[in-house]
Amino acid sequence: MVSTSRWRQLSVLALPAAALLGVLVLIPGIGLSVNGASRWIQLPFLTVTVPVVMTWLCVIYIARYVAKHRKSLQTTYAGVVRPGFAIAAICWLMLMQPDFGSMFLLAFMALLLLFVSGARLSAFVALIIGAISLLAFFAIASPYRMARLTSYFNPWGDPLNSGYQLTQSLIAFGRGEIFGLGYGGSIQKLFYLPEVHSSFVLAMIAEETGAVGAIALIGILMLLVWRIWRLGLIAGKAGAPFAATFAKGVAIVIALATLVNSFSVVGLLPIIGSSLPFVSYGGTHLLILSVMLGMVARVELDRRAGRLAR
Amino acid sequence: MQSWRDIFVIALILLGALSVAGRIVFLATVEQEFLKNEGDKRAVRQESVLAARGRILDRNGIVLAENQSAYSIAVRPSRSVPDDAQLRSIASILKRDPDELINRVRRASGRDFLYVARFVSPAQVAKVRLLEIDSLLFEGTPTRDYPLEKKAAHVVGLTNVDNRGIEGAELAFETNLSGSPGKRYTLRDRLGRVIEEVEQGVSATDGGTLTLSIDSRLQILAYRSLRSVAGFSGSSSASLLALDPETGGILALVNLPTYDPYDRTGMSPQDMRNRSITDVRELGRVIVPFVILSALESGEFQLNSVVDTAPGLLRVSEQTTLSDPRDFGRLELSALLREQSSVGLAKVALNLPNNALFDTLQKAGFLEPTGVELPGETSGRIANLNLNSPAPIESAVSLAALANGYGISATLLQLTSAYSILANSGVRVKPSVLKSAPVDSENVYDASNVNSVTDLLEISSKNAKWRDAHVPGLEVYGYGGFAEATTAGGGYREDSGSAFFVGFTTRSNGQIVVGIVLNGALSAELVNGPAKVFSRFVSTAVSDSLDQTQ
Repeated sequence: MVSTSRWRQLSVLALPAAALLGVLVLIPGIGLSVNGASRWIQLPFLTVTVPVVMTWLCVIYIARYVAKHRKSLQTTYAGVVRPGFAIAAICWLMLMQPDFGSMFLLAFMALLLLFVSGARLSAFVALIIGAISLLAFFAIASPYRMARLTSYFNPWGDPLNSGYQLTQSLIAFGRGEIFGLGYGGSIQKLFYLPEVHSSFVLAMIAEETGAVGAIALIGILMLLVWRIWRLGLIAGKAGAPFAATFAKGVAIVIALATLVNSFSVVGLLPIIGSSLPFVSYGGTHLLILSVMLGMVARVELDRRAGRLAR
Repeated sequence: MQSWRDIFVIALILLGALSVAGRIVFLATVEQEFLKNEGDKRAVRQESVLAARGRILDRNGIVLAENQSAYSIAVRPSRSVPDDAQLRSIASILKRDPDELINRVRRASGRDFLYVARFVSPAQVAKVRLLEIDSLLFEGTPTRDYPLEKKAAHVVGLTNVDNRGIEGAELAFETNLSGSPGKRYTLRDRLGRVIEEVEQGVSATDGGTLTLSIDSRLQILAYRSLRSVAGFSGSSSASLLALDPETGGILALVNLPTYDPYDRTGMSPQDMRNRSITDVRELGRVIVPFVILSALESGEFQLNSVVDTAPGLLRVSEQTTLSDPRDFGRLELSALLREQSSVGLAKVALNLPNNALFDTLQKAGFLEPTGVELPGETSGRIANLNLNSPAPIESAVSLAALANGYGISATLLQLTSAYSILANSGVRVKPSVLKSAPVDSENVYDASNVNSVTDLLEISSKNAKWRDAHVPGLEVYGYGGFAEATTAGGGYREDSGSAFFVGFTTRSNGQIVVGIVLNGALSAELVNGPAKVFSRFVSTAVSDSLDQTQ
């Protein structure tokens, strides 16, 4: 049992740990490379998907930073730019793997979290402009990302190659109609839609349970996000900025992952290979999400016990 | 502390969630039809459903052709092929040449598909399967089972590899037999495996059952009778045709040589020809009864009218003189039939009104195909015919020759059909191979004249000329003759030709008309062969059917 205050003490290790993982996974022999991407570290009993862990550590890091440097974050440029650089460094390590999707989620999460924690607005705007231009550069600089982008604009232009996944995904939504084809009724999972168990699981759910099922699933996740956010607000009122920021960070991670994934599956965003929280296949993902939920639950437990540390 | 920033971020997330929800609803409603259609294009395949080919039955419902499954054995050389030892085992089961098979598989290396063998019986396939060779593919193919095999091959015919009729009734009634294929729509996964059948298919309409006029029992008897005699008569080909004179139904049709519908490699076009309807031969004396009939029909002659054949010679023109083997002297018309006096027959013909003989022969159906449903029917002809003239046969030579059976040719079906008019008291019936064909009949001759001729045709054990055709205990009628083969140059070969016999039974005995021809080198066996076949066939056929009715 690790209390919130214990987490706060340990949080000093979060950023170095994230950086260390980011470096380790790049070292051949330690990092596992599949299809040209080194995102995994093989442990005796499980394969750890590193970016997921790094994201979690970054949430802890920002929560710690906000708790410690609230004043300078809200008033000075340096207070905003410093965590910005730290996160940018972690983002760069992710890009080395390369994992553009996780990097995008991390950067977006960090920006929102800093914003909601009261970062000085002028400095924050500068940070956003910097972040967006960097993202755009990386997206355009890499041909396969560019292909994903263009196919997003017109998936039916080349439905057998670059547009293949998206068209198959859209077909699943169309086939599902409002109430779906029923359990096991999915055609797209019969090898038509690749990654149907991970990135495109929402499409398959839509095909089998219809628009109703897919929207209900997103609604449930959004309800979860709101409950966590409310806990963050309560913790903030109780004068526990670490707990408050961490809870909001978790809420943002879940919300962003849900939205980015569903946006790309329905063709509102280019496919960046993200997964749907708690639904997509992936051991590390589920594990870290559960850890985050556990920590959030602990915040509530500590609050009720009146032990929420300042 | 609930700042505007919290509200902003929450609103942003909510907006995102609503956009997704809106987009999902849009895809599931507005875009639904397009997307479903695109999905079906990828996952739904149309395939045709084979219609079952109709059965062919004989007049008593006995199966002459029905469906069965044969198998094809194939390999995909681009993936893997059996090794040489395995191929040898396969070849030995299928009774094929092992080296040929090995070479064929080797030559196909790299190809996507190769048939190792087609039309393999289920039994052989079971043996090949026991070899457990993974690289073999087995494919069921619809094919036909012909229980009478080569005994009825020319009537029933056969189908090709695509199960379409290419010979006989299978070809003639292809449309009825084949039915129309259906369509089915199947849902397939990306690897092409069928997941389920989806609705909206069109079911196949199976082919209809075809009932032929053929009687299997008579068909088999005919085959045996013909083969037993044709064998030692030295004939190169032979045909037997049995008709029901009242309905025109063909009861049996056999040609030798015939072919085995299961042995596609051994088939030759010669053997597959349905000679009794495709081969036209000069008829010779077998038409004499029609000359007598013509004389009676003209009213110029009675049965007892006397024709003077002395001195056994008749000069028809400058170049042509007919001669009899001896001087028959004065012969009654009825005796001409027995003696076959060339001079007498010519004199009768020359004394008839000039279109009488032509008229009789035309009414007998010698000038046009009978219209039987089987494919490939041809028609005989009368030589030196001028249809625009009031006297179609102008020259005396032609007329004299025609009265002796020269210059007139026909198929066995035409000949047998003509004799069935005699058996039928002057009513001509269109022959048919279908049991339920509407009877298409026309009264062409005076019944009393026909009956007068028929009486002359009765065969008894004492009847010297056609004694071989006698059937003990049965009243039979018939006539025959030998015609020398014609040569390309218009002359005759004295050493070979066609021996005919056409006979019939009375109505009380289950009337049947049987025409037989043997072609080959001239010999006593050949000339007498058809009458022997007739006797053998009719004695068994009629006595069996009498047993059955009793």
